[in-house]
Amino acid sequence: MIDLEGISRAFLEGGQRRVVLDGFSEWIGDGERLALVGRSGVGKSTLLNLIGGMDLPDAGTIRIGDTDLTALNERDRTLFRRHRIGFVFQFFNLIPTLTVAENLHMPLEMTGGLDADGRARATGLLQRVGLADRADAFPDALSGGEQQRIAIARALVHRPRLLLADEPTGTLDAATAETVLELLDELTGDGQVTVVLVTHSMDVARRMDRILHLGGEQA
Amino acid sequence: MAAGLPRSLLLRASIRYLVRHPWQLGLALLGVAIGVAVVVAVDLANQSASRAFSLSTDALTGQTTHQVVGGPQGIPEAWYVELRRDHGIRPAAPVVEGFVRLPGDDRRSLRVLGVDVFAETGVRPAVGAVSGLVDAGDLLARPGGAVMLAEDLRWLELEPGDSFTVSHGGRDHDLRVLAGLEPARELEAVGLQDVIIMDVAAAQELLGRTGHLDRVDLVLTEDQVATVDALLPPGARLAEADQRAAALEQMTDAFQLNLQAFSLLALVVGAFLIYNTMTFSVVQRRQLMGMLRATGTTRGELFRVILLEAAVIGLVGTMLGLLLGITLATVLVDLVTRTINDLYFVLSVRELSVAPESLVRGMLLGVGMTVVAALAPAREATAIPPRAALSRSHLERGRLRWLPGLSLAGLVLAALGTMLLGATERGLLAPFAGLFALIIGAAFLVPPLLWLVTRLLTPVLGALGGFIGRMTARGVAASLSRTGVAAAALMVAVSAVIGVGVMVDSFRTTFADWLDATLHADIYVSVPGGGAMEPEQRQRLEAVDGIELVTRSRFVRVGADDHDARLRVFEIPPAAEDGFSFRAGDPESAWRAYREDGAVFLTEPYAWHRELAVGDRVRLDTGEGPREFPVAAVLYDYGTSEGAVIMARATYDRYWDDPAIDSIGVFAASGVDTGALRERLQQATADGQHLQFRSSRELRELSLEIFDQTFTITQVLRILAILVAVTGVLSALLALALERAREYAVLRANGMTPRELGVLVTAQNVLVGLLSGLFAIPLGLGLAAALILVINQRSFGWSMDLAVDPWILAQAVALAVAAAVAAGLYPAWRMARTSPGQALREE
Repeated sequence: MIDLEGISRAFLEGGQRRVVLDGFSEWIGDGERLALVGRSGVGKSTLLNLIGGMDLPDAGTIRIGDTDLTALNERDRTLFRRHRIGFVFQFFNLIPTLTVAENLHMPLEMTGGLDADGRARATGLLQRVGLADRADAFPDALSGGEQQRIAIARALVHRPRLLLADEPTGTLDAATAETVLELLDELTGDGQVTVVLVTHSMDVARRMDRILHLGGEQA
Repeated sequence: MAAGLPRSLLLRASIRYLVRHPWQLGLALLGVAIGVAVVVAVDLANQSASRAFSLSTDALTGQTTHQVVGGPQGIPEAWYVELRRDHGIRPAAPVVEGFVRLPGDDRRSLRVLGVDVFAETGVRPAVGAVSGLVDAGDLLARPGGAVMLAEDLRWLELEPGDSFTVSHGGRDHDLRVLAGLEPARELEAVGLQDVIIMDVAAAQELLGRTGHLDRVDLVLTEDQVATVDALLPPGARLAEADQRAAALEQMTDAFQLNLQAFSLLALVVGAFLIYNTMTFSVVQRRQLMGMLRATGTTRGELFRVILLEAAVIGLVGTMLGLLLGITLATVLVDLVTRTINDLYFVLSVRELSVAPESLVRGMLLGVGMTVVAALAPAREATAIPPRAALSRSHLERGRLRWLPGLSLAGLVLAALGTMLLGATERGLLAPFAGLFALIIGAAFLVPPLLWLVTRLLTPVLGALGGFIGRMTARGVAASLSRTGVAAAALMVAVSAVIGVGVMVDSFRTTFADWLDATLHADIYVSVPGGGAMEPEQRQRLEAVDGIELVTRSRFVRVGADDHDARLRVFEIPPAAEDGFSFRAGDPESAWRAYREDGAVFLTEPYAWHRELAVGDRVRLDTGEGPREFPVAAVLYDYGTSEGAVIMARATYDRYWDDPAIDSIGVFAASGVDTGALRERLQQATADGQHLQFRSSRELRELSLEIFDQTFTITQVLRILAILVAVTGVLSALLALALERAREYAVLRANGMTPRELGVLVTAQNVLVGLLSGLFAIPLGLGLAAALILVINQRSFGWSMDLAVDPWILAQAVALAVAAAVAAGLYPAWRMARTSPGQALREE
C-alpha cells in the first residue's frame, strides 16, 4: 500500500518558485496498477520520483507499506529503493557500456542476488522478453522497443514490490508500444507488483486498473 | 548566408557548452596556460642569460677584433708598451681583469676591469667615456679609484666620494667611488652591470698582478695580425675576440637546450590535455552536430568550427600562459643564472628581458599545439552521421578496433625512439627526437595496456569488492576513449617526474661518491673567493706540527688551440695519489707517465668536448711557447662541465714560471686530532692574508649544497610538469565523471547509495591513477637511463651510474593516485548532493 499525505513540492526555476504539487494526497492499494495522466508540467514525473524516494517533498509524508519514506535518510531511502522498487524510464536508461546481460544483472548484483537462482531468473526474463539471443549485445545495437523490454526486465529482475514507469512507451511507435505494454501486463498482471505508470496516452492508461488525472478529475 | 547560420549556431552552442562547463573550460585553459608558461619562461630565462652575456661581451670587448691573452703569469706590461710605441699597433688597450666580492655577500661577484682610459676610446667607447667624467689625475693618483654604473651605485647605496670595501685574494681592499657612469646607450648600461672600472695600475694592485696584464685588446687589420702573432710574449696567444666569446657561450648551449627540451615536455603533456578536452566537447555535442549535419552543415564547416573553437581556447590559454610565463621567468632567470655561474662562468643578469620573439614563439606553439591536438576530435565531429547520434558504446567499440593499430604504432615509435637514442655518437638532436618518440610511443601503448589489465583485473576486483569492484574495472575499460587519454597524459607526466628524479638522484649519488673518493685530506686550506696563497702564509701553514703530508694545488687558465683551458696543477705525494678515479687509462702506467714523462690527465668532460682520448696529445700555450702533452688517463670528475687538464707540479714548473699555490690539502699525522690541528693552522695564519679552512666533510657538504642549488631549476621544471599532469588528469577524469552523470543517476535510481557511488567513482579514478603510475615506472626508468647515459653524457660529458631510489618511484605512483582521487572528489560530491530524479531530468 502506498499512502501519500499532503505532498507539496516546488522548484526554483530562473529565480522563480514554481509549485508543482500542493498538498496532494492519494492512496494506492497493494497490487494495484495506477496510471498517472495529466498535461505536461503538472507534476507526474515529480510524483513518481517522490514515490521512488529519488526526491523528497517539501511537505507531507509518503508511506510505502510500513515504511515512511520521508522519515528515512538518503542512504536508507536508496537501500529501500534498491530492494523494493524497480524503475522504467522513457529513454530506457540502460548503461551503454554494459551488455544486455550485464544490465540485467545490475540490480541482482546490488542486492546480492546474483547467485545461480538470480542468473536463472535473469535468463528466464530475457527469454520472456524475447531477447535471449541478445544477451551479449550492447544496448545501442537494440531497437527502442527491444531496449525498453530489457529495461522492464531489469526493473523486475530483483522481484521489487513496486514498479515505477515514467512514460515507458513515450518514444516508441504504436506497434512497438503495444508489444512493450503486453509485456508489462504479462509480468505485472498477477497482482504481485504494484505499478505506478506515468503516461500521456489514454490508451496506455486504460490498460491500468485505475487512472489518476493530476490537475483534473479522477476516472 | 545559408551556410553562415548553422556555423554561428554551432559557435553559439559551443560557447554556451563551454560556459556551462566552467570546470572543464577552466582546466583546459589552465593546461594550455601552464604548458605555454613553462616553455615561454624557460625561453625568456635562456634569452635573458644569453642577452646579458652578449651585452656584457659587447660592452667589455667593444670594437676589439683580437685579444692577446696571457697565460698564468699574464703579459709583461713592458711588452704592451713596446707593441704600442715601437710597433705602432693601435688602437690597443691593456686589460687587467678579475673578480672581487663584497663582504658578507658570497653569491655576488663584481668584475674589476682595469684599463687605461686614454687607450679605450678606439676600443671600448662606453668605457672610454670615463675619461670625460673623471679627472684623469684622480683616476691615476688615487690607488683605489673606481667608476661604476650610476645604477649600480644606487643598487649598492653609494655615491661619488664614498668608500667601500671589496675582498680579493683573502684581503680586504678599500675603494673610492670617483663617479657614476651613465652610458648613452641603454644596452651598454646592461653590459657594464656589476663592473668596477679602474685604472690599470690600481687594478693590478688590487688583483695582485703588478707589472702584468691579463690581456691586450686590439683592433687589427689583416696585415697586422701576422705582425702581432710574431711578437707574442711566451705563454700568450692571439685570439679572435668573437670566437673567444662564442666558445665561452657555446658551453652553455647544451644546458639551455636541456631546459628547452624539458619545457617542451610540459607542452606535450598539455597537448594531451587539449586533445582530451576537445574530444569531450565534441562527443558531448554529437546530437547537436548530427542535427546540424541534417540541416545542411557540411563536414568542412563543422571541421572548421571545431578547429576555430580549439584556436580560441588555445589563444585565451596562451595569453594567460604568456603572462604566467613572464612571471615565472623572473624566478627562472635567477635559477638559470645561478646554474651558469656554478657550472660555467660569472654572469650577472639583473633583470628579465622580454624578447618579443619568445612571446611570438610561445603563442605559435600554444595555439598551434591546441589546433593540432583538436584535429582528431574535429575529424570525429565530421564523422557524425546526419540525424544520428553517435552512441557512446558505438564510439567505445570503435576505439577498441583501434587498439591493435595503436599497439603497433606505439611499439614502432618506441623502437624508433630507442634506435635514435643510440644512432649517433655525438649531438643532441637525434637523442632528443628519440626521447620524444619513445614518450609518444609509450603513450600510444597506454590504452591497449589499460584495456588488457582492467579486463584481467575484473574478476579479481569483483572477488574483492563485489559489484562495485566489478563496475570499477568494467567502467575503466568501457570508457577507454576517455580513460585511455587521461591515463596516457598522466603516465607521460609521471614518467617525466620519475625520469628527472632518478637522473638528479643518480647524479647526486655519483657526485657524492666521487667527492668521497676525491676528498682525502683532513683539512683544505684556500683563499676565500679563489686566488693565490701568499708564500709567507703557505710557509707558516706547512710548518705547523702534526702534519703528515700536504698536497698543493694551482688552478689557472692557459691557451689550448682555440680556447682557454682550465689547468689544474697538483703536487701530490705518492701516499695521497688515490684521490683520482680513472675512467680510461691504466692507473699504474698513467701515474708513471704523469710523474716522469710530463703526461697529463684529462677530466671526462674535457676529453668529451675536445674529442680526446688516452694516447692523444694536448697542445697548451706554455711559458716557453706551445707544447704538446701526452694524455695518460681520463678521470671521472664532476667539478665543472667545461672540464680541465690535470698536470703534475713538476711538469708545470718546467714550462711556466709561476710558483703560486691556490690551495693546500693537509693530512694529519697519525694520532693527531684534526680539530686541534685545524686550530693550530688557523692560529699560525691569523695575521695577514685571510684563509679559509674546511674539513673534507664540510667541503663535501658545501659541494652537495651547490649541486642542489644547480639543480633547483630542474626541480622547478619537474614540479611544473607535475602541475600540468595534475591539471590534465583532473580535467580528463572530471569531464569523464560529468559525462557519465546520467549513467550515475541511473545507478542511483536503481538503488546505489551516494556513498557507494562515491566509492565507485573514486575507485575507478584510483585504478586509472594507479595503473598510469605503474605504467610510468618502466618509461620513467627508460627516460632516466636515456638522460643519464645519452643526453647528460653528451651535454656535459659526465658519465654517471643509474641509481634507482624506490622512494622516488613510490612518490611518483602516489602522486598519480592522489591526482586521480582529487579528480573524483567533485563529481562524487555533486552526485551526493543531487537527487537522481533531478540528475535524470537535467541530463
